[in-house]
Parts: sequence; structure tokens; C-alpha cells
Amino acid sequence: MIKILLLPFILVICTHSLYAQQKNELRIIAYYSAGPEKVQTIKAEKLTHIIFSFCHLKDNRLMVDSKRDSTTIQDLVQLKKRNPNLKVILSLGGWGGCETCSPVFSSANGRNEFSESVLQLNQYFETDGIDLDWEYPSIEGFLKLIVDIGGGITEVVIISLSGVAAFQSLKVAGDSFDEAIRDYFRREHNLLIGIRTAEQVKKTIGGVYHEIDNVPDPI
Amino acid sequence: MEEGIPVSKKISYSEIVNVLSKPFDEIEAGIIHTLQHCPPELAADIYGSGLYLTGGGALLHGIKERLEKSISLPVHIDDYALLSVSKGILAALRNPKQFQGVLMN
Repeated sequence: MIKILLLPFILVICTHSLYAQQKNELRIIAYYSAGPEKVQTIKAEKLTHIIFSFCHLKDNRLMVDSKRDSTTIQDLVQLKKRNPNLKVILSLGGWGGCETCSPVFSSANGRNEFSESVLQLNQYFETDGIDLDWEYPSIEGFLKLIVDIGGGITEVVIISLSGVAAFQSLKVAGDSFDEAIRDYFRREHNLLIGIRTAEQVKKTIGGVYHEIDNVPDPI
Repeated sequence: MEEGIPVSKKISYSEIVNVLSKPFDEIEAGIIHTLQHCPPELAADIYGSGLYLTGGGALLHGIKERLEKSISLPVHIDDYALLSVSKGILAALRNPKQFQGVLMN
């Protein structure tokens, strides 16, 4: 039985079926670093991914450098009309383009703000993801960053022997529980509590069902 | 909040259950939604093998009981749910070929 766990709080439903023989299709990935003029010359039909290079950090946030770059990204997204399966990815960094990355990604605050800006930019441009060309990452910071982008998400996956048969990603997870507890204290008890306290409450007496055998003591 | 003086309050389990049920409803709905979109060939297998919960959230009290009641499938929770995600990543990275099918692009 294969159980593979990709992101925090994944719900995995395993089965023993031979369904969903996923083909390992080839991915043809191109980096694009020119301006908007040449976008139309790209053979979008032959590619699976286009990575726009590069965006950079401004303070803790992912930023597109210029108006010209914005236009280029918008034009790249338009290529999806020619190839609906095309994924357009934003890239951060490049050679010498990530000087502040290590200090920014070494703090939880920096990572949070960066993650938020990645989401915002992707929603704004309707692009499909982020490519981290961070040269070079400190290993610890890099691993943490990956987990943080994935954090706060619940994944529901049906995995059969050979691949993913159904998949859904929800924006409700551990963080939402903490927030719900904080809200509750603010509203009902007129009491401000910190995120850590909320998490503590969740870990000790957090529950979702009334009738259980060992009801934890109040704290 | 009114006076700015730190106070302490006693909080019961059932209070927290009421608080957490709302976000958990969404997760429950997500599971049901996924099952609805599950190919029928797999339904029989899922009926037998059930649902596996991993990650820190799986440690919430009563999560097994609640899901077993609402979804009527056997629910399993990993003994080391808090670590299972990173252990899974470890296994996948050690043997990327074998797990290619379950990796997202």
C-alpha cells in the first residue's frame, strides 16, 4: 500500500486498485527572459511550462520589477489560449538575483510575507506557481520555505496503486483552527490571546466531536 | 481587553468542540466532495480500506469518531501523525521514481 504524504495535514485515502495508470508524460519547460515583443514567437503548443524570469524580492515580498515585465507576464498568460494545458510560472532570483533571499527566508515573518505575496501575484496574473531560483540556499532555510508555502492547506487525495485518482486542496487547516479559537476568545470571553496560546489550547483540548471516551480536562 | 490586566479563564473541552466544528465542517465537506468525484471502480476498495488521516490535525480529539459517524468508513490515524508527513516526503525523495505517480507538477 502506498501512502505518500506531501503537505501538512493530508488526508490520504488509500486503495488497492489498479486504476489510474498515470502516464509519466514528458514536460517541456522553457525559461523566458525577453520582453513582450517576442512572446508571440514562442511555440506555445510544444511546451508544457513557461517560466518567466526573473522576479525579485522587494523587502520581504515577491515583486515584478517593471511595467514592461508585467506586460510580458500578461502576454505569456495569453498564450494559454493557444495551449490550454500550458502552465506559466513566475521565477524568483536567478544568478545574483537573490541576494537578500537568505536573510528574508530565515525569519518566519519573512517567509509568511513572501508566501502571501506569491499567492497574490499568482492570483493577479492568473499564473500557476513559483519557481525558486535561489542561488544558493542555506539548506535549512530552503526546506522551511517549502513547508511554509504548503502550510495552512488540507489536501484530500485518493491514491491508488499507481497514482492520484482524485484530489482536492482546501484552505482550512491547523492555522484556521487557531484563528477560530482566537476569535472565540475575543468574542465570547472578551480576551485577547496570542497565536501560540491558541495553538496550545488546540493541542491540549482541541477536538471536533462531543462523545469521546477520554474527554480531556479543562485548562 | 477592557482593562489590559492579564487574566486567566478555564476552558472546557465542549466549548472548544463547538468552536472548531465550523472549520472542520469544511474539511468534512471536502472529503465528501472528493469521494463523490471518486471513480466508481475505486469506491469498493475505499469501502474496505477506509480513510487515513495524517498530519498534526489528525491528533484533534474525536476526529476519528466524528468522521466514522459522518462518512461511515473505517478511519485510521497514524501513531506518529505529527511526523508522518515528513516521513512520507523522506520516503518519496529516497525513491522518486517509484513515487512519481503521486507527485504533483
